Amino acid sequence: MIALSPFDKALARSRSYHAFSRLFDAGITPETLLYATAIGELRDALPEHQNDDQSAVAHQRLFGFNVFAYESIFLSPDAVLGGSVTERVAQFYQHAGFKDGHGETADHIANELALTAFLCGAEADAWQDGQTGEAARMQAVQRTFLDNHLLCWLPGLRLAIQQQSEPFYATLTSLALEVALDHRADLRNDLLAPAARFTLPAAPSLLSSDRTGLRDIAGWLLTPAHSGIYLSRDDISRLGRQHNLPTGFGSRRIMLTNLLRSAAQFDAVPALLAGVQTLLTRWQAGYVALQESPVASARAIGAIWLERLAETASLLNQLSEAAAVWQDETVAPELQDV
Amino acid sequence: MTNNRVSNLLAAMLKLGPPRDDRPAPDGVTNVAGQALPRFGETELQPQPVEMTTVQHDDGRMSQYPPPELWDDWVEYDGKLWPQKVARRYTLVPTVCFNCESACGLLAYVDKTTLEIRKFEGNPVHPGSRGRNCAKGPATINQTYDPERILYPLKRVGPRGAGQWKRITWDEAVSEIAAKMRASRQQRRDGIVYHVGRPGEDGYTNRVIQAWGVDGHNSHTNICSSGARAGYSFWGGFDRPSPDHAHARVILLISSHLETGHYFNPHAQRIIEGKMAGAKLITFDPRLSNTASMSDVWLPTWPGSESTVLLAIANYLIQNDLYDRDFVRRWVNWEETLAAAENGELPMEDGEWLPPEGRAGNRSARPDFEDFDRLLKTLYAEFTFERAAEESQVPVERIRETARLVANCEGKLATHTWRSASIGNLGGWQVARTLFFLNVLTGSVGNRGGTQANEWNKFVPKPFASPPAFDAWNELHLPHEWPLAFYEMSFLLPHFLEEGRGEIDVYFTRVYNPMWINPDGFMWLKALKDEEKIKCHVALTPTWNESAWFADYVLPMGHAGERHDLMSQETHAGQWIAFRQPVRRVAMERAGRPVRYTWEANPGEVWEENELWVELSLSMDPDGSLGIRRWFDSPYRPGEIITVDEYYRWIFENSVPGLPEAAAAEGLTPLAYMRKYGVFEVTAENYKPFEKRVQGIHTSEQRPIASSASVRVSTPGVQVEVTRQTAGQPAQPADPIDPDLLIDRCGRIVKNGKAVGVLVDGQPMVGFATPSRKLEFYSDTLRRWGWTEKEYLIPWPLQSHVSPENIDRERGEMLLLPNFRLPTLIHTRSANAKWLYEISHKNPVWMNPVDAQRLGVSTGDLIRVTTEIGYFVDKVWITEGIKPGVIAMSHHLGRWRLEENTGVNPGMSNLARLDEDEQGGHTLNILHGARAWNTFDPDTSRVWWEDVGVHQNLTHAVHPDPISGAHCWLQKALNVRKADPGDRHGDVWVDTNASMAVYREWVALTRSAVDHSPDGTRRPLWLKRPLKPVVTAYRLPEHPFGRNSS
Repeated sequence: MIALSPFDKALARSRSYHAFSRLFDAGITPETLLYATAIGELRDALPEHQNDDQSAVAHQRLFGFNVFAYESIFLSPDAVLGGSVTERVAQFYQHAGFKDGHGETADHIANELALTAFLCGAEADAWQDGQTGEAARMQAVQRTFLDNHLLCWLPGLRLAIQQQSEPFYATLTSLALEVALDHRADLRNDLLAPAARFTLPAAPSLLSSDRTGLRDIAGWLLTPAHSGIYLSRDDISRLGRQHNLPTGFGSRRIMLTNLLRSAAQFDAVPALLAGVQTLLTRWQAGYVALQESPVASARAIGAIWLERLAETASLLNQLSEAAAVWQDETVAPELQDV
Repeated sequence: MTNNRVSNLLAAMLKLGPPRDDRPAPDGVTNVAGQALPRFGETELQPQPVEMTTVQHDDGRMSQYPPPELWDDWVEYDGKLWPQKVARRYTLVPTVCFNCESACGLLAYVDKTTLEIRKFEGNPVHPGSRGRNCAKGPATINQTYDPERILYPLKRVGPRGAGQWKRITWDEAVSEIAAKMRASRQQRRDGIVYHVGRPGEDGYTNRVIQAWGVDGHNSHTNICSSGARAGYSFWGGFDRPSPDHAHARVILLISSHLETGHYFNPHAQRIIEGKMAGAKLITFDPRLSNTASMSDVWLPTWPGSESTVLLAIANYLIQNDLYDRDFVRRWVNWEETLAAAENGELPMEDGEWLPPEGRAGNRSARPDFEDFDRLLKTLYAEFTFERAAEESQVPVERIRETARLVANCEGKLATHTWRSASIGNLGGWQVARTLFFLNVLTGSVGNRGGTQANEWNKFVPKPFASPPAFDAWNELHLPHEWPLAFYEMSFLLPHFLEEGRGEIDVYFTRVYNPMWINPDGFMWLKALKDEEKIKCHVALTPTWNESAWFADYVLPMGHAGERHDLMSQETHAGQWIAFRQPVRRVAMERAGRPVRYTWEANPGEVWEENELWVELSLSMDPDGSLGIRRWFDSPYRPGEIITVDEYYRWIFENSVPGLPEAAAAEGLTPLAYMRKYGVFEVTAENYKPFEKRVQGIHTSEQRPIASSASVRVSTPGVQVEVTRQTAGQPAQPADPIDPDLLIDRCGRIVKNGKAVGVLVDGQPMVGFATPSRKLEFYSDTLRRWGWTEKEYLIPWPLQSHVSPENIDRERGEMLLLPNFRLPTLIHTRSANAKWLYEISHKNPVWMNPVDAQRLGVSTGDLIRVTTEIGYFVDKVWITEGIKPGVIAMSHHLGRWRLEENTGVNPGMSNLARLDEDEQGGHTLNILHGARAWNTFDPDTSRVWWEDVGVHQNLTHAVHPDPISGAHCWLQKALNVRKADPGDRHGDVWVDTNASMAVYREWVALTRSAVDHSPDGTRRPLWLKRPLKPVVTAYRLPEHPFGRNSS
């Protein structure tokens, strides 16, 4: 293990976050390849015969089509871009004196990593100038951001990307999470006022309403803050393929609604929900692993996600049971969604 | 705690080095100013070791510049990417700073790949600034890439002032505005007004206005320098001083100017040079300014007492025979003065002075200089050090020490006053006059180490053709009440409009923000909103300002690197001319990409006035019937329209002595030379040009010189009895006698009715641009125009409106000094320079601890300052750097906008609300201060300050000096107290009824030409005007405003 001074550590973290940010933002390009090859794990995960066009396609397919790497997608109750979550992140940047410059909204993973790089860089500057007070202040800001933003959804992003067939980005996300957890472990909790406790919005009571339809169920499953999981287009397609059900094309919500309707039509709802349960189990495993982190706040965050996943599992079970009954009778009118 | 995997990763990242700007650089030309931060290309070339041009700064710093021969293709590493060695390739284009009037040289680094500007540095070959620039020059890059700059012509679509705009094309803007101008010009010659702040150029626009044939020039001089201009003009016919600081033994400054305003940089560096060579620095300023703090002697004089102190020093020189008698004898109009004293035109107290025995009533007896010496000793005996100490509230020893220093200056006294006392006080013009009196007494006029006239050191070349003088007189600019004003009564324009003196058809404000910068801003607001009085308002400005908000058209004009102009300034005892250039355009042309109009190369459609004026003028006179169009014909291509290249090419080829030769020596055309260097030194030294011999005249012993004390010097143009010169031997074979030259009885050399020189000790010399061609201690002009009292006719103190007698400190009145400057700001031009605003952005009220204790306030408290017309609320800063009884505020700050997202930059202005009660009451309330905001420039989100100052000028009553026309800036603070409970920082309230009442009080101090003109004219012909009309236009109007037509 290499012992680093506080200055070196802050500097190295700043550069690491910067490299991660650039790779998330631009993918593998001639310019960012420098970073990918400098880190052993990433180097190993690089596609064997990649070229610029293929790299751009892979990046677009993953982040433009499947996994939308925004905090608001993962944490807001409507799972859409912008809104109060994005606004809070932007406010944080403003207070920190940071301007995101990647063309994405403030809560994009590249921007959040760039901010963390910026904060670590400021800390390194402070160490270099002998301003220990300022360094401590920067650490406090880092801690707040990690606890209130990045660490709240980076584990989920990692799990979402791990489901996809992009080993490079899966490795990249794992490394980013590992560095962030390691970073957070180094930050004392008493630097400033305790960080706000992470919470998730209350999930809708789907089964208590007679009017719940397939679209509502699809919406619930596609809202990580409610269901605890993230389903990409590829995930939905895979589920369809596994059960020989068509998904159609379009937005994730259309695809998943189609899938649910097809399942209902072809008496495959319990089987489909079992497939979702399988996915859920992987997510639960991921958050259980997070419970081994030495970082208390990360463990707390993981515990909340586990709680949410348990609720989802329970709901899926209830749906599955109900579906089995309906399957024996007829298709319930309330499931005849369009 | 860190695990191995992370630890290795961190170590790998440390080895990798700092992140580089890895986003792909543009592979071609970009033009992102106003929309994004610039990007720059990378070159495979590597910087080569060369001998750099080194500039040693006075404070010990050293700057190095690429040598001019490499400017066209310069490679250097990108410093921001250090320690990575990323080379960039630039073409270096010289230009001229536009952030004040010093015209310092800049060097723009234009990226060869993208043509974006990397930075502005100093131009080391510029003789004025010499590569040493202040913060405002490099900050041009902020203005260029300012996210809030205006990129396209805009036209209002809602009511005036509602803030609704639409983008229009230049064609639309030109044709619509020109149509209004044409309609106006067809009806009258005073309907178009060009109101300029600091011109930033010499001659181009004046020529255009002259071509339009209208009396349309309006300036900001009356809120800036007219007091000083009047004082200097009455002495010597020149209207600015040009001190030779670098060679002086004593430097005497009446601030606030040099250390905190324009000329700051070229003068400051020479002041330091002078000090390094042993010069003593003396500063008069009630405020401990930067310069005062560096001075050998600081005299914190009570405002308005400066003349008394200066005359006490003069008296010390006179009574002790320490003055330069020979210089005074040769160059002062002492004979005329004695004549005036004898015949009663220079009033004297009983027994104060009598003509020598035997001379009384004997007009044939010749006075001699001893009489004048005796007169001086009598006149000024009352100005003792003790009196000066009492009036100025400065320790007498300090005044005595100052006098001793001045007496020992050995003819090398460099003095300067510009704003401050001369623009602050009623009668402030006498401050300049009494200050220059010290130059005259010490013989420090025009010599090495002394004080020159601006026009000896400023070079303004003539263009290829000059339109004739116009036949018009704009009553809104120079009304009959102020026949001696320097110059247009610009700050009273809204008051004149309110009184119904006229209206304006087309009003151009050019890089000028009258509502914000002038006193009594709510009167301006009224005027600008009144579409009957100002029918069309066109704001030519690079950025939003408070007045542009109330315009009909907002036309984006370029910053320092986006326009053509010629400029020269009196920075020292030499002469130079500098060429401002649109640097992207020049870079494109160097790269072989021709550009027809500068807006094609500038950001968005930002244009320059040079080309706009041509297009407007042509559109105004499409068929040539108005006689305007012909002045825009090319001097090289008859019948075709002139290009900007041709305009300057002609000047450089024909009007700048020595330039064609210098260019030829380098194998360049004169235009190419100026495009390359941006500057040309016309004369390295120009001492005592007034002693230059008049060519074509030869005096002989036989010719009587009919100088007589009984003969009054006449106004030029009115020929008096003359003696034809006799034919003697020419002094030099190359100096043939000019038969048109005559010598009049006053010893003046006259040609075609105009005095062109004067005989001094029998030698024909050029002399000064006064009626007598001498330095006028006694001003017969003032007497003839009704100012017959002694205190006006000779250097003498005038009681200020804020003299101790007029400020009742027992009742809590104080003196508000509202016009000191900060060295890093220039009024409304710097609100778009983020670096400058980070340095200084607030203007608290300076207050002495004695006053603070009396009022019970401490630093940071809110106070309410009540003026004659309203009040403002600001924070207070307690400091011993201000005199007790005086409060002071910088006047750069307090910018505001009315919409959150439009107008002046959110980080540099307050969000404000305007209200009025329909009965004259106006309020400005600040909703919030500066805020960070998101743009493409990350720095805008880093704005950390909120306090951006208070707009105090709104509460200033107008104080037009009856002679100079200057707005006397010093304000009487009727009350200063802790803010009321409801008061908020930045609150302003004004009653415009009170504004008009104060205005009328000051109008009552004037002596109108209608009552006092000696010859039925409006103004002495010899006094300057920015643009002079034909002589017949000087005739007084038949129906002067305010007089019964009967």
